Amino acid sequence: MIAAGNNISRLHVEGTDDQHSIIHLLQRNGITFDPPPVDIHVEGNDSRLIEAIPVAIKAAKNRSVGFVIDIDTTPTDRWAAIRNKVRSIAGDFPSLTNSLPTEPSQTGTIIEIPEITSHVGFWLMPDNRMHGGKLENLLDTLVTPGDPLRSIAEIAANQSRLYGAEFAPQDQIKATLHTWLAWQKEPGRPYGTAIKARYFGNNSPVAIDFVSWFKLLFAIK
Amino acid sequence: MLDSLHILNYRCFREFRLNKLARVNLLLGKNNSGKTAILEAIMLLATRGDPGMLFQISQRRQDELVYLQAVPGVPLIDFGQFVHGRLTTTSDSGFCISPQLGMRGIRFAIEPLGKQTQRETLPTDLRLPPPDSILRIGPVSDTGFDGETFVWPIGKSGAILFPPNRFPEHPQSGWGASQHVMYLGPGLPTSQELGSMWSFLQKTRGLEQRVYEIVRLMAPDIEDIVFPPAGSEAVFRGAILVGVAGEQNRIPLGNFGDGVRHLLQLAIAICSVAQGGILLLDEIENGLHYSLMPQLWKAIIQAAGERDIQIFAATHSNDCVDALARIAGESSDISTQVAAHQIDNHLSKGISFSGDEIRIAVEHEIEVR
Repeated sequence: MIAAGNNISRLHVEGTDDQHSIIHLLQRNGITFDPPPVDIHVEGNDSRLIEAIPVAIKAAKNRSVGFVIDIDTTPTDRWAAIRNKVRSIAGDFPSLTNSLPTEPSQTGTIIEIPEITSHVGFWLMPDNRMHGGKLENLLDTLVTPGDPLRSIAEIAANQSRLYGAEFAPQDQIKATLHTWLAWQKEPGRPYGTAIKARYFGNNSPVAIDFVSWFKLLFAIK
Repeated sequence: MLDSLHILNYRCFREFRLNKLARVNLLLGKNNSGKTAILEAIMLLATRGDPGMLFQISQRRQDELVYLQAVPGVPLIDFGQFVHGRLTTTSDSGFCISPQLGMRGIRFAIEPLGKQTQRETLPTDLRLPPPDSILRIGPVSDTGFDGETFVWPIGKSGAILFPPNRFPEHPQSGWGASQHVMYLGPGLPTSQELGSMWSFLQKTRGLEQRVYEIVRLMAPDIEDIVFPPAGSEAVFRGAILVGVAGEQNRIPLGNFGDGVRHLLQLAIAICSVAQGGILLLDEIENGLHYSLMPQLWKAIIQAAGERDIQIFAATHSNDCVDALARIAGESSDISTQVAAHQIDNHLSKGISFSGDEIRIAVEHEIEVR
């Protein structure tokens, strides 16, 4: 197995957008990645991430392990799927039978597994409660409030449908943000670089909550 | 087959449980995590507490045998080395190994001198000092000793005051093709060792062919293997010769890589263990190229299933685990036969991963070390 450094903790994320956005957001909030304090591992998609949960937790003796996943549909469904995966290893770690709360915490969930001196954390993008939410919704909160380009981008994205644009309704926010990014000083930067270039801010309430959850889970000062 | 293992007070383990054992089990952990101790515990359980096994274990771990000034040259077993913590004569001293807590296991208990019954005579050697306490070995259940037990003299220092080479034959002991449990350590076997394993194997018909079949799983060109005949002193002259397809003359085993020698030893061992028996492998992947491991695992798993043997293999090689995961991923027949267990003597139980979980771990690059 590819060792991400023998004792380094890991954060599992869905895609490379999540990975880069998170790394740059954390760096904008004072966390250095040289060397990376945590291995941020891309799973590819939500099903793969959820599939990995039981084994990733089991293998996390004396470490922390975190999971960032888009809510996508309804928060309750997503959380139920996660709870099932966690409960599936309660036979090995009895403390897990009831330690995961029935609802995700709004500031990110962290539980302890005393049997293996570990902590497990879950963050449902963007804010642990939004129906139909994803990474882009968190990034949206980092756009300067009142930025006119953001309003025009949304209008343009809406109007594009009249001209045959094919993106799905749930991807509206993605279309809007990418449109907005197309109009920045360096047009078309991907999310991570755009955060670094300060097109996005770094301290909306939900971003601050995310950074705090990360620091608490991985014991970073 | 063992489903689980429960250890009390053995070496570095105060208490330790291993659950969800499969047919082929990988034991993972750093050096000094207790992997070898677990293999030893299984050996002691499988040989029903044969004290000769204590001697074999002490021999393998260097510097564990003790010698008394009174009788120089007579190695004695230092029982204290086997017990977790300090040796005392209190009622829960000694150690216990069972398939499950409460189920019929084997207990090695220290008792005060005089606790032996009238019928029990303590075997003694007049050259050695008188004992300080007694070691009682026997089957145990919920309520204590439960069956025939044997007693041995123990000195103040914890040494068993009886020369190991005079231990009487234990019901489960003895080499031969009917051996119930076998241990292979790290390091390359010598031709002599291979030869004696081979000659015991030959007592039973048909096993030679099984060995060739296993070897051929990894080296398909090998047709047969000829061992030089043992002299009356079992001293080997000449090389082990390997017959290869298409070659008129057989080739000395030494001409092949270490891999074939390891494989031969493994194949002979698998065939030597009695059906229903246990094979213990301690870091035998040392010296084997990682590219050979998947086929090696396949051969081991297949042979274990056919011969109804349970295998425990201790390793700290990532390549070994990776190879096993790759095989487990290929078929669910295989993945149900294997499990990996993380051993850590600071915890009270092993963290077990099924064949499927091993596969998931490799796919997601999760390190199970």
